Amino acid sequence: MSEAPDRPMLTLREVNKAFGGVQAVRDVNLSIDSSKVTALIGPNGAGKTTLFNVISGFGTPYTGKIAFGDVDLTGWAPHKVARAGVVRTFQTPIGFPSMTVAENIAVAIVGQGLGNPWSPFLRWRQDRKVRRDAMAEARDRLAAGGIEGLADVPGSELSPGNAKLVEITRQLALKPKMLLLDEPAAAMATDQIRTLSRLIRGIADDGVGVLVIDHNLGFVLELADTVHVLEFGAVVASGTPEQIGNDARVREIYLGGTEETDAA
Amino acid sequence: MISMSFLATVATLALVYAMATQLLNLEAGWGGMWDLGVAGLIAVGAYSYVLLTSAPDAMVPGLGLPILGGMIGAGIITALVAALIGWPALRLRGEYFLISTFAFAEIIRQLIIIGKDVTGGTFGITFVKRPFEQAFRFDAYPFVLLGITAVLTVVVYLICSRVAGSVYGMTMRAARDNEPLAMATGTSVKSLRMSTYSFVGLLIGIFVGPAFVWFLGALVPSTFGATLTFTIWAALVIGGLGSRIGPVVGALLLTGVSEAVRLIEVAPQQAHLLSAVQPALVGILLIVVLRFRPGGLFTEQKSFARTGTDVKGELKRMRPVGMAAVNGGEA
Repeated sequence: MSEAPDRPMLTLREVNKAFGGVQAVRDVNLSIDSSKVTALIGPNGAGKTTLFNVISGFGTPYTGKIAFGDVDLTGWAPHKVARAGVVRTFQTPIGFPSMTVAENIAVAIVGQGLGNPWSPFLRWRQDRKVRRDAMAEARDRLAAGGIEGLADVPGSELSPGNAKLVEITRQLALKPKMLLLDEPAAAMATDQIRTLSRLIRGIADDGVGVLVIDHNLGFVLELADTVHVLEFGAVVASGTPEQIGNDARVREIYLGGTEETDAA
Repeated sequence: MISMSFLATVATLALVYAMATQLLNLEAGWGGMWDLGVAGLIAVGAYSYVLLTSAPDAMVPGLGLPILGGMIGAGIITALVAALIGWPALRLRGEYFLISTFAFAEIIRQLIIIGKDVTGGTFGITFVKRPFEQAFRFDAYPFVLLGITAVLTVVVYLICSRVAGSVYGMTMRAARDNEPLAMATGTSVKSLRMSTYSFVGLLIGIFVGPAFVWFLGALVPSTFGATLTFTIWAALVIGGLGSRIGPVVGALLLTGVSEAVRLIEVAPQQAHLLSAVQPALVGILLIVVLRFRPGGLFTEQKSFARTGTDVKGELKRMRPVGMAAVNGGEA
């Protein structure tokens, strides 16, 4: 597993996180490759989202280390993690509801250099140019994803499925090196899931590492290169989709009490 | 009989409120910081201006700076005070930020009362330096002041408009809409809010504080109580939180309606009843506007988007999205 300098790997070492007495994540060791789709599955409350929050800076790990290539991300603030190239989406894709879809994406493109009260007055020309370019790029990105029709729709009026696509398009506009997708297929119709799978595969083929959490086992097993199974905060199984799909223990803990067996 | 100079005075007050409301809109409407301490910042601006410009041999001695120097100095001092308040207060979310700014405003007022050697205490300061006062006759001055205040209001409007259309304005509205997502797109929400709060302090110190002092002609701490904060908030809610021209219209309407009460002539023994009508009118105006236009007279959607769709219940979605969005529906 060689690691090119521009294609860093995300590694978690002995990561622990507790809320009060509840151990939400315990001793997790993971490596997430670039150019690959890695999936994290597990029943409700297994600690998937907690692990996501710990990686993306929304929660500090109790112990352990998170590294991206040579950079130690442990304890970094969310905006710094995002600027380092590790970008996440959210389970509930609220977006920026008061803005149009195109503006939603432009916000991610404009970057941070002008985001202070002085720029509108001291660097107005640059400001105007950056905004115009960002809006144009936002429309291009929407067109590339086949959702250019949504450009002028207010963020608050998107259907849940479209909101998910906009969420991914926005976070991709940040040009991530590692993309963390929190339940991307939730609330999506079957044909939308197929579009989504193609989209995610394309992202990985461009050299971006993708980590996916999802409940839809069929979607995950079809899409992922590697699957990790989380239960009570610990990784209990790892392997290819075939191995995981045939693992008796996995079937029992993950599929046992839920109705998602037929999700494929 | 309504005198013209009375109308000019009312219009001047309305424009001072219009400036304050626009700046509150920048902070709360676009920045998502629900600040209940506006009166405190205005007090800092007003007192700084007076103390910087008063003559050194006045009853409450000052530095004797020229008016423009006093305005800029007041701006810098107010920005510093805002940074000092914001540093702890901006660590808090939503309601907690609101309560702590309210407390800070009251602390500022109490400090003004206690520090009577510097500020004149409850007795106040009875002489203030006003622009071009010597050059005009006593009865013409209200119109001069109205003109100056109108110019300042236009300047504040232009500043706010430029912010609204900038990358900074866009980032600010994004952080208001969804704080976790703004962070996940690389925005340091903390420093964004900190600089916004100081920026609003700067503008309040330069424009609102001095203009308010010119209008008042004297300073007493009781002017800067919670009533001032709530009047400005009422004007903002009536005009439309997050809109561009709304704050100006809201402030003019509110001042116009509540000052019109003064025109009613009554016997002296009923005068106290009349003064009680004023706050009641503000309340009624607020209720009527919110009943028929929940988002205020003007909406943010109309001010920014080109789609022209009107979203109902603006106030509801103004509530910041908390950590619930990060944690999702489950663990």
